[in-house]
Amino acid sequence: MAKRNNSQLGREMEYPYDAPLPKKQVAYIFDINKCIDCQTCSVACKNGWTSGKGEEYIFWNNVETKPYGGYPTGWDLKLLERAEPAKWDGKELKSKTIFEGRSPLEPPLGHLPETMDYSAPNLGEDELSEAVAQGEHFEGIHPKWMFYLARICNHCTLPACVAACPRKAVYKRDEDGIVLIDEERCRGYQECVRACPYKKAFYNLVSRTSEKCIGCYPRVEQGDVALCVEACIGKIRMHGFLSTQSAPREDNPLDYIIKIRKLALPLYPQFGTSPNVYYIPPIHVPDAILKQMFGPGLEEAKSLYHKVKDDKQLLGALLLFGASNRIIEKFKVEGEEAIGWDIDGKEVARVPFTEPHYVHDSYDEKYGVYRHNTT
Amino acid sequence: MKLNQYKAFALIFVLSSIGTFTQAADITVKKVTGPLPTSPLAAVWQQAPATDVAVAPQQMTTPKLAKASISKITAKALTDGKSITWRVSWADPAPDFNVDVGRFSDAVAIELPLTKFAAPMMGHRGGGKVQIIYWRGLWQKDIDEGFQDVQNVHPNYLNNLYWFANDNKRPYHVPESFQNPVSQQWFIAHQAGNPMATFSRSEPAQELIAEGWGTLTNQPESATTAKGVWKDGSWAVIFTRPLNTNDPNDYQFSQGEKGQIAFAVWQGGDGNRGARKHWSFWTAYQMP
Repeated sequence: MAKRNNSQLGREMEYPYDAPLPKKQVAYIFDINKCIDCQTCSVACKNGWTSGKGEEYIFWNNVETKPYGGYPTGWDLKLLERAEPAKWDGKELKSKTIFEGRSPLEPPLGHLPETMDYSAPNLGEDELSEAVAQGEHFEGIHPKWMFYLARICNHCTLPACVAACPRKAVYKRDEDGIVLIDEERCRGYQECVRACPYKKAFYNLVSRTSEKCIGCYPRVEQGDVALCVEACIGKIRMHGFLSTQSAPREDNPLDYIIKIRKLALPLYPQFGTSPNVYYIPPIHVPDAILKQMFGPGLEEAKSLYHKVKDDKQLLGALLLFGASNRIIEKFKVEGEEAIGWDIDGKEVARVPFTEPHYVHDSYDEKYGVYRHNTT
Repeated sequence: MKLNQYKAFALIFVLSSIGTFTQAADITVKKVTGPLPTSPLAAVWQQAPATDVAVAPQQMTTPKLAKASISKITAKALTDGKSITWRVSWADPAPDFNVDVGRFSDAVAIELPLTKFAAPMMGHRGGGKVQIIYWRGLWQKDIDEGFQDVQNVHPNYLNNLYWFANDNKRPYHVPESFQNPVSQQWFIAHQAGNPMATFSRSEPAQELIAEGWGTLTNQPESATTAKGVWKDGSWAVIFTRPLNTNDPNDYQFSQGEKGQIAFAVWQGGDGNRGARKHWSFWTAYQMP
C-alpha cells in the first residue's frame, strides 16, 4: 500500500498504487439549488452512449431524489452501513477510508448490488423526508425537505475501481485524469462494480464486461463539455479542469469556485476516493444530512451562497454555467460582464450580470387592456 | 499484502513437501484405438483411470477466495496418438450458466507449463509462462441454446427501441437483429474486439497464456474443442487438442512424457470469478 495525499481528507491515506497526479484533473460543479430533475442530462447521456442491448438499466448519468431515492437502490446506504461512521476533526478525517484497515488480500470495502436494485431508477423521486403537517410553512430551512442529486462518475483522484481490478483493466488517464475501463481487456469480474462507492461502474450482461462513464473524453479532447453538461436545461453544471501542476488559478473557474472560494463540496469524501464532481449544497436543507454527504465546509459554503449576489467575482463565475458548450479554461469579470475563454484562448461566453430588460406600462393604450404579470 | 510470487512458489514447495497440500497420484493418460469422445458422458470414459486432484481456495493474491466449496476435482485423459482429451469433473449441486450483476458462471481451466519451472499459480513474472485453456458454462449455453441475451435472464424486459436494429422483431435478439454496423456502436466491448464479447462462438473454451497474476492474455487462434455437461450433481468438461501444433503458445505433448498439469475451478453460484477460484498445484501425468 502506498501513502497518497488526499486534500479532501486533510491527511495522507493508504492506496494500492503510487502515481503522480495527472497533468490536469477533469472536474465538474453541480449547483443542487438549481436542479429541477428534468432528467435531460440522463437522456442525453443514454442516447449518446448507453442505448445498446444490455445497457437498458445502465445510467452513467442519473438524477435521484434525496432522502429516499438512490440508483441503484440504497447505493450509499449500503456502504454507509458497512463503513464506520465518518469522524471529522475540523477538516481532517479521523475514521478509515474504504482502503484502510482491510484484511489481507481483501479488495476495498464495497458490495455488489442486487439485480433488482437497478430496476427502479426513479424510486423515491419527489418524496419529501416527512409528510407536511397542517399549517407548516417555509422558515428558511425546510422542516420537511428533499433535493435532487444528479450523479455521474466522479473520475476520482484515488479511484476504487482502478484499485480493485485484478487485471489493471481500469486506468486513469495522465493527460486529464479521466478514468476508463479498457473494454478490450475487461473480463467481467465485476470487482470495479463492487468497489465503486458511487456504483458508477455497471455490468453489461450482453457484452459480459463492465462499463462506466467515459467522461465524454472524445468531446473533452476537443475542448467541448460533456453531453450531460451541454444538455442541462437549468444550467446547473460546469465542466473543466482543476490545476494539478500549480497552485489553483484565480482565473480558472473550477479552481476558483472549488479550491479558492470553497463554494462546492465533494460527495461523501469520507470514502476516500477523492471524487472530482463537486456540489453546491442545497441551502434550504438541514445541515445534519448535508454534513454526512458533503463533509466539512458545509456551513461556510451555504453562507457564501446566501451572500453571492454581492460577491461579484464569485457571481461572475457562476454566471458562466451553461454559457457555452466549450470548456471554459479561463474567465474574467470585467465591468458588468463575465467573460469565458476556451482551451484555445477563444472567447466563448460573455454574460451580463443584469439581463437587458424592459418595463411595460400596466395599461396597454393600443388595445385598451391591462397587462398581467402571468406568463 | 500480496505475497511476492517467488516467495509464494517457495511456500508452496515447503507446504507440499510436508504434506499439507497433498499431492494426488499421477494422472495416467490412456491410449485408445478408436476416435476420441466428443462428450464427457461418452461410454469410453469408463476405460480411463480417474485421479482425484486436491484444489484449495486461492489465498495468495487479492481478491482471495475466502471460503472453498469443493476440495477436489477428478481428472481423466485419453489420447489416440494424434490428439489428447482431458476430462475434469467436480461436484456442484446446481449448475450456473447465466451472468448478470452479482451472478457468475461455472467455469474450469487446465494449465500447462510453457517454460520449465513456471509457477502453477498462472506462471510467474520474469520467465514463468503457462498455457491456460478455459471453459465457461455461459459459453456452453450460448452454443447449445443460442446467444444468452437479456431476455434469457429477464424474460419480461422490453425495450421499444435500439438504434438501427434492422427488423421490427421485439425483443431484438443479439446478434441477428443488429446486422447494421451502425447499430453495433453500442456494443462497446464487441467493437473493441474483446473475446469475452463474441456473439457467435464456435467453442465454449478459449486458449490463453499468462506470466503471473493479472497477465492473462487471450490467444487469437485456438486448436482446442471443448464440451461441458452438468448431470446429477456434477459437472464434467472435456478439452480436446492436437498433441502438437505450430503455435508457440500451445504446450506440445510428447509420447512417453511425464508432464505437469494444473486445474482451476470456479463455482459461479458462490460468486467465484477471476482470482476468487479454487486451484491445484502441479500434478504429474504420464503419457503412453
